[in-house]
Amino acid sequence: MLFSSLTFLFAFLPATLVLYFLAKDKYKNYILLIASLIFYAWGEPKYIILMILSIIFNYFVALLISKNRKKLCRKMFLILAIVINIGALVIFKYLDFGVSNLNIIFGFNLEKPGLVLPIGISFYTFQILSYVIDVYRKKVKVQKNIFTLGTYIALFPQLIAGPIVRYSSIEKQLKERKHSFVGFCDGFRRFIVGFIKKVLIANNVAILADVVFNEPRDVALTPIIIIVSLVAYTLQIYYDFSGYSDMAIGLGKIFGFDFDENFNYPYSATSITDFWRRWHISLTTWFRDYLYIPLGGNRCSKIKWVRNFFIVWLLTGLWHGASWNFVLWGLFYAIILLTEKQFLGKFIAKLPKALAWIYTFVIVNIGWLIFRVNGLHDLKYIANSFVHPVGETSTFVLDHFSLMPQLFFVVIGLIFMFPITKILFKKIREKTWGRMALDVVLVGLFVIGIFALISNSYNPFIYFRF
Amino acid sequence: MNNRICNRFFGVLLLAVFVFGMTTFVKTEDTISKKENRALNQFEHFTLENFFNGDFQNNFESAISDQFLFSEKIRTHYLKAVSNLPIFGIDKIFCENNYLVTVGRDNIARGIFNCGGNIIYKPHGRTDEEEKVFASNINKYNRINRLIDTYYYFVNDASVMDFSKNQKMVNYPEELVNKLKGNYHFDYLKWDNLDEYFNYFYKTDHHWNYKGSYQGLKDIIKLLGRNEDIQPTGIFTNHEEYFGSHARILNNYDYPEEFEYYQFDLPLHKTYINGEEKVYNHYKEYETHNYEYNRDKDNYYGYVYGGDYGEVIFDYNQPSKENLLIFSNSYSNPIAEVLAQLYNQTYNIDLRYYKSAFGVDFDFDNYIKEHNISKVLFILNPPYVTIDKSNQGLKEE
Repeated sequence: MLFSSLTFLFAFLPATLVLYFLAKDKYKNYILLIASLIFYAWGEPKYIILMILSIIFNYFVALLISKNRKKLCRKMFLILAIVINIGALVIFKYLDFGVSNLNIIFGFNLEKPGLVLPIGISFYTFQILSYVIDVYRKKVKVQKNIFTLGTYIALFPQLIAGPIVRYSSIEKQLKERKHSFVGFCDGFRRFIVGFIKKVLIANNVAILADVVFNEPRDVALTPIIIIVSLVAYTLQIYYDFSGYSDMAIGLGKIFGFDFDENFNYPYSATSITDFWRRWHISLTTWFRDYLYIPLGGNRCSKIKWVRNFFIVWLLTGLWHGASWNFVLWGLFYAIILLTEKQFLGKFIAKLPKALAWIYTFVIVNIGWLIFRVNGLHDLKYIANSFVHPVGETSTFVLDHFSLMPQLFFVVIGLIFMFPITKILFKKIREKTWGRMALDVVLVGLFVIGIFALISNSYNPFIYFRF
Repeated sequence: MNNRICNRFFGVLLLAVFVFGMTTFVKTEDTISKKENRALNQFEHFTLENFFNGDFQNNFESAISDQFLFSEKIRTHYLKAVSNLPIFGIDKIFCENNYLVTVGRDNIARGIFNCGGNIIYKPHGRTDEEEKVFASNINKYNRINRLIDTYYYFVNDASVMDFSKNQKMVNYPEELVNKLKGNYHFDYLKWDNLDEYFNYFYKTDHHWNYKGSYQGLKDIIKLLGRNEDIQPTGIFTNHEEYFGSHARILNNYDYPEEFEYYQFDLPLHKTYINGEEKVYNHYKEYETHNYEYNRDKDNYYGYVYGGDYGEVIFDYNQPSKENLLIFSNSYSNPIAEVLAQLYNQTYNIDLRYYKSAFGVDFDFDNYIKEHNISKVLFILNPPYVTIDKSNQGLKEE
């Protein structure tokens, strides 16, 4: 089920809210767990078993780690948990990729299993690992109530597309949390902001991006077409994913949870290092805390540091998808970031802000090009078309004239990727009438978003496939 | 205090939105959208089987979308608003003296000429699926050719032509002549360029206009080996604005035209629609304005000429003459009743609706025997030969 679906808005959410707020505090987690399992089963009825097994397995393995006093045993159970959780991820997400590469490299004729990817497996696997590892590190107490642990793992606001919420950050809230009308309203405001980002901006700019990137050989490709569609995709992935995170954070707030921020205006960054401090923060900090630092981080020899860097970024790329372009995308950022850290960073810091921003935005767009293409052959074709255009821009415009109004959303997306709302609304918010006026605008846009859902069938979330 | 007021105000707004949305589940379900010309999705009963295969969930979302209070109006206004968003002068840069494409849902995007406001199909060839259906339909026609004297009249629509290059996407007449076998006769409506096309078709509707259909009628009479000259007595329009199918589907009401038709003196006859005696056309109602006008919905072409039914029998009671069987879609609407005066009984069959009208598939072999049919006329157009439903019930060789 998508947050930006009519089913969620008018059936699932109202029913869950009514049951949740009518229930006594001690039953609230049960309501959330049941609602979360229904939410998951709505999209993946068959994989609900996998989710339940995952909860049971990780509950017991964490108990075993916690109760065992022998370090070796604890370590063995931790390794078992990592192997099983990552193993499930590998089987569902990477097996086809592995088999097709074995077939190419060794000339085998192995059949691809073709397993359907369980929704959100990359997100909840990382959440589970953070819990088990933190139990091992004694950073958090083991959760003795399987239903509470189940509520954490399956919690529907962040289950399928993050942010990756660590157990440590909501440990106390799982046990006891405060609910207030103020929190409820603020949560809904945040949810609506995310909804508008997703439905009104991401879905509309996606139409422009998809025309070029879905079948690049079917359209005229000139530098201007490539740039416009690439910028459209750059905006799509930001508004789509950050919109989802906003909705997740907002829903969390409604139910009394405080999730950490996942985005901080990443496209206003003035270096790639800065960009990665602002983009998908929960993933980058996860890799930092659970992989980069345990590998030695930067407190080791330079060669090892470079190795650690490449391992982290290779895996970051692979986390996003089982395809060589994701690997290339990860390595692309490893090289850029290493270059910035070694020498380019100092130079960029001295540049005027506008130039530094242009440099960053161009690199990020190139990154998204590598990320978006359907395989390396398409990447080569599009790059080649940039130098040797295929067809005329006017042909493209005429053939796709119906899509031109979507350019309006590109312009809106470009404006609001900077923190101008913060500055603009700061003064308005100080007045009661100002806040009420903003609420009217917000709810008005929410209604328009609902109208868009009724009118458009185009509504997929990009981050589902991760 | 101020915070509390703001939050209460926000809460009331939210409640209003959610209550409005949830009326979907308590109101009576609508069954069809006249504007979109389609059946609306309705809520399915829950079963474990349809839940586990995902059908229940998919249907539930579609049903909410379709059953949402005022969903038809919401779609109309939303799509109209999107189509009116600024496009930063792109039309002026790229589209002068050229054709544009209007905003519509992706699968129904059509071309719109800026010369005179004609909305036409975006040109397209045949998809793989359409190729298969086309081959299957040819087999069906060839079986009929072996059984009876068969006549084919083909009406090319705008989809076969890329006017920007004046290039045919598919040459249906040539293909049909090459692929049809047996005892058949063939002709088609001839036009080769934009001006000729506009002469025969509406600006905003996919059908042929009064000139095109009259040309078709004359060609068909000749094709059937007859030499009668049926002359119209006049042209009529009530001057009400007419927005054809393309305008209605695209929600684009910028290019009104007038609906005109040729008037004919038809001899007395009886008409049976799906077995019941009725009047087929609504010329009288149109001429006297005796109908409720709705700009967004009124399909004058269908309403005035008579529309599409599984079976329409025009009985001119001339036993000395032959019985004719016509297979067609809406392209026969303006001409079937007029052509029928040359025959004893004319059976006009639209196979898209036959089964829903009679509960059984059309049985060609029995039908021609039972009704003593001596000639079969197909009035075809690109969708007719590429959509399976148009030939539902006919058997392949």
